[in-house]
Amino acid sequence: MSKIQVDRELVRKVADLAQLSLSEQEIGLYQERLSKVLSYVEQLDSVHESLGKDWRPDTARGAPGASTPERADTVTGSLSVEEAMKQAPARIGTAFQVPRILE
Amino acid sequence: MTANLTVKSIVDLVRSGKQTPTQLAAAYLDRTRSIAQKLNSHLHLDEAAALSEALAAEKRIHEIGAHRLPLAGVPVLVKDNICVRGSKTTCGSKILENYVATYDATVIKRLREAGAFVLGKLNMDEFAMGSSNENSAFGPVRNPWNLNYVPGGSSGGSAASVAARLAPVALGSDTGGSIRQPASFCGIVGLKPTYGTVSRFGLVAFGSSLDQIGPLTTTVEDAALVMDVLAGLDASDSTSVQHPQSDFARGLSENPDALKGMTVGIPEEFFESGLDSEVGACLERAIADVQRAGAKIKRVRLPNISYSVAAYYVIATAEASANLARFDGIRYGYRTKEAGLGLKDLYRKTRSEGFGQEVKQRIMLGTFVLSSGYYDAFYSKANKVRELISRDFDAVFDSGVDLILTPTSPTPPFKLGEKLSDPLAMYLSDICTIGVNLAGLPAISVPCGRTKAGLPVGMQLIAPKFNEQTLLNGAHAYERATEWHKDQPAI
Amino acid sequence: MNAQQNGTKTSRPSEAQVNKPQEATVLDRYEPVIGLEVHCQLKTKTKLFCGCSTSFGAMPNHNTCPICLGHPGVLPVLNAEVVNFAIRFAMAVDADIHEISVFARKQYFYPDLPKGYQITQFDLPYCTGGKMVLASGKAVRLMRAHIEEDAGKNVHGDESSYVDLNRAGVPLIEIVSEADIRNPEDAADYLKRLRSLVRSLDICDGNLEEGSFRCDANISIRPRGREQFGTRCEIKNLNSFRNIERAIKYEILRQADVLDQGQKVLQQTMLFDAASGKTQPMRTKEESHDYRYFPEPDLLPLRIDAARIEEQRKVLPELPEAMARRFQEQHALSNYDAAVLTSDKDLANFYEAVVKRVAGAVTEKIVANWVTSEYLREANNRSWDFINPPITSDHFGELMELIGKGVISGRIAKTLFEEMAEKGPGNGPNAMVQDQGLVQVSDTSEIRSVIDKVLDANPGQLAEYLGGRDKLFGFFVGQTMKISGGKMNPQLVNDVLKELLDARRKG
Repeated sequence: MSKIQVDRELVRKVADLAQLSLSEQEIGLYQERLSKVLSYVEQLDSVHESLGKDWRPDTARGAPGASTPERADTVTGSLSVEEAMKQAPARIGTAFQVPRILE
Repeated sequence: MTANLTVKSIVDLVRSGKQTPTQLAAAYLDRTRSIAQKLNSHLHLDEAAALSEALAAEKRIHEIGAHRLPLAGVPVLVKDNICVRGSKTTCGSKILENYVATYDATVIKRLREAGAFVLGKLNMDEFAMGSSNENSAFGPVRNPWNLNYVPGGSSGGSAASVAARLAPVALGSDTGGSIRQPASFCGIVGLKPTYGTVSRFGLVAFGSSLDQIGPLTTTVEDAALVMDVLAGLDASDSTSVQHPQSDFARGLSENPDALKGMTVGIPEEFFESGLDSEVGACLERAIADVQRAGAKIKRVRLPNISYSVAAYYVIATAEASANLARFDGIRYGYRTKEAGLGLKDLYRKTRSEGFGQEVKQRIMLGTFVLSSGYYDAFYSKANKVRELISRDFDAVFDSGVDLILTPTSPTPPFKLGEKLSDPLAMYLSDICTIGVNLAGLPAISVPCGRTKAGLPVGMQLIAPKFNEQTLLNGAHAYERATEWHKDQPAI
Repeated sequence: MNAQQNGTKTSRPSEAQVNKPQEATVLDRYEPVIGLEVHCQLKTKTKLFCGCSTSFGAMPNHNTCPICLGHPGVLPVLNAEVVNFAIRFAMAVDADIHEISVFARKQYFYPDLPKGYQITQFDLPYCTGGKMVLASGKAVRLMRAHIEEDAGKNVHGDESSYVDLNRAGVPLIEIVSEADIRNPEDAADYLKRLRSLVRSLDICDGNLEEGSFRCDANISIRPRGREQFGTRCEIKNLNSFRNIERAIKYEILRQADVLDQGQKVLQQTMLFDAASGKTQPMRTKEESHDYRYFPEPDLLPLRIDAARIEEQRKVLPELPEAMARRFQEQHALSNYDAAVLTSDKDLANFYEAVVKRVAGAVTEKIVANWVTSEYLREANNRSWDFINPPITSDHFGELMELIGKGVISGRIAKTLFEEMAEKGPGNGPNAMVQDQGLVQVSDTSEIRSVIDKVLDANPGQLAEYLGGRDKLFGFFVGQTMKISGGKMNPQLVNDVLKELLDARRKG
């Protein structure tokens, strides 16, 4: 892994993906802080790992041979629509309201 | 009255009819009124709700009988990232400032079934991200031993409250040390169970593969009593498992001198440079005490443990970046007050205004490590290192070690504001606890000394997966051999 | 939506030049390369990861709970029936079912995606491979199929959009074909067969309009003879077989036009507008999507063992291909009739119910003719549902019996069927025949007297016939049937007329 240069553009790109809007000042702040943390994290690069090709973190999870638990296909009920909706910051009828989405 | 009560003594009082849950609730609320404000430990202290909870417990005790309820009448404080239906669950964040939980976490159901009741909700680092409880949107929690010091984090409200005897037990959550480190900073007992032992259903997720709920108490015995109720398979949590052991409290009483004949491993990595000298001195004495209690001390190595903080900050933030994506101001929670925004700006303003600085930083870090082109170098690699660390622990336990002993934190409690400017220094304060979460192991912090300034120091014991019994037995035997757990802050 | 569709009359110059006549020459010069992605909503009672009902048509947000609303602290638990359905699908297309597969989070922000990520399968899907064989005999290879959760629905108003999460979390299997398809007709045939298959398996109701069977097409074209694929575009919003074919045809011509003008096809997502028949780029800015997939930490890997696969094999229903073969043998039908009847399992069931009802009173071939022509025509025109059609297999069988036993003529039967279709079957064809006096006249003396009258009333035509114009035979049949109101047994009319004409010729 080559050293990651955390520039303002990278901070902007990541904030964009994470749906955060940052002021110019905040971009500077996060640029500095993320640089520090990332350069520390880059030490992972130096770890010699000997796990072998077949080892994968995604299939190794859980007890050996365990499959994700399954539930019966039985309706267990929903919230009342009032309870589902009552904390919505904006709603129309029983639907959540958002600014018009352009397709 | 409440200052000397424990979970055990409360259950005895309720069973003998000397106290009722409502009397206990009233007594604890009295004490809380004067102290919680100084500590800023409580986010929601709804006295009416607490009393009605106590009444419900009373009714249950009346119907079922106190003798059949393992936690009859026990008031429990709950970290504010655990859902209690009808109560606010803010996670210490502005984005959930007014969020009212729509269901009960499994742990809350289990506690109530056992006769316990919820007394209130506690302050914490926003979304459990922090090691000092300075990241709460609702102000920092203070250490009851010295109000200028941090109580640790992220379960700072839980540790401070129990240390100040505002309840005999509080629930915390531990992703990288968030139960153990504040327990250590506040001079109490904090247990992080084996991953999967306690249901996460209703715990607002931070790092889903690392998070566990656990108790903070003043004694090891109390931790065992509460764990007996918390542990268990839950069909609502696909990562939950049936713990092979049960009745921890009885196991404890049957084996009071458990350290006798045990082999306790001391990983050299945690005692090298970076360890505060006062903490080091406390630990040396603790090791001697453990040895005196009959344990054999063995120096061991965890070759990859120094990479744990790096691996942790990749994995935990990656998971967090996805877990926190649901907070978008559409279905519940905070929404920007700015009018006339398009959808994208609505998302961005809402999230930027709703999340605090540390949370945004971790979301961005997690977003970055998962982004196209960096996944293998960061996320995949971190998971491999996680496996190596896990195997290091296995190797130590396979070599005949029953428990591993380390400091809980390399430093004693620090002053408010002291580490805020340096994210790395703050992250590194979790160096002793993080490996345990990566490996999914159970670990406990117990008080083992005080600094010259009178601040508590904790010792961490770590056991193999699903061996909470050995962990609790060892910690209990140490507690019996020492007096540290009896100290109370003079607040 | 409407405003959008009507407001796009002005097309870009390149689009204006795309017109039908080019099609033949375009296909001479370019070869289309088509791959299809189909999302099948599974017919389970509950959602993929929570116990909310999947019933369609509920009021907005009435089928939601903390889990599918993405409230803080909730966790998913996999619905076992989804896995069973998915296994059945994989077996039916002869795919490799993987012993271990992994759920992953696909991250993007959209109001209909409550958690900010979709739980799906990414680099380890539960099955890969398999194939679908088309009418043309061509086999389309499948790349993979995976289990995932559906998103909710955004409804767009003038100022706001509204989010309904009833559909959020409904189980889907996404079926991805290899880019093996080379023309729009095969694309449509692939989809029809896939739909028929998932309906036979009883895992998906295959309703394109309601969105339980959704298709996206990836299309590129390349000059004939070239191996390298061109740049592909994805078309979304294809909600009928007709539109799928139209959209693909249009897109092929559009891409050919771009290439012919010396320009490059841009990789983009297109929407098909059924009103104008055109595809156009989605209006949202094409962001470089970075979905940041990673393994779902709230679920363990899914392990499917051999025993479970065998269990599902036992409940696997007869699949369309096998059923068509059986129909040909058992009911002595043509390849065509068998294919049409088994294209829909409910239609096939209807046919077999009718055959059982008539119990040999009429041949299976005649029943097949009636079902594939008269019945299907009315069913299509009137959008009948084959499970509960307004004309039941009992009534339809009764009608077939009336024909078989010679009680009514085929012509009367058609009129009667149309009437039943129009007004409802009432008390059934038997009662209708009695009430309306439609019983076929098979009494030769009555037939004889009518024919005599017809011959006497048309002396000119009779003279011509006797003079050698044999074609006029039909004229007399027609006149006879007309007078009788079509109720006379046509075979008897033929026989008697021939006899009487012969007699007059001799006389």
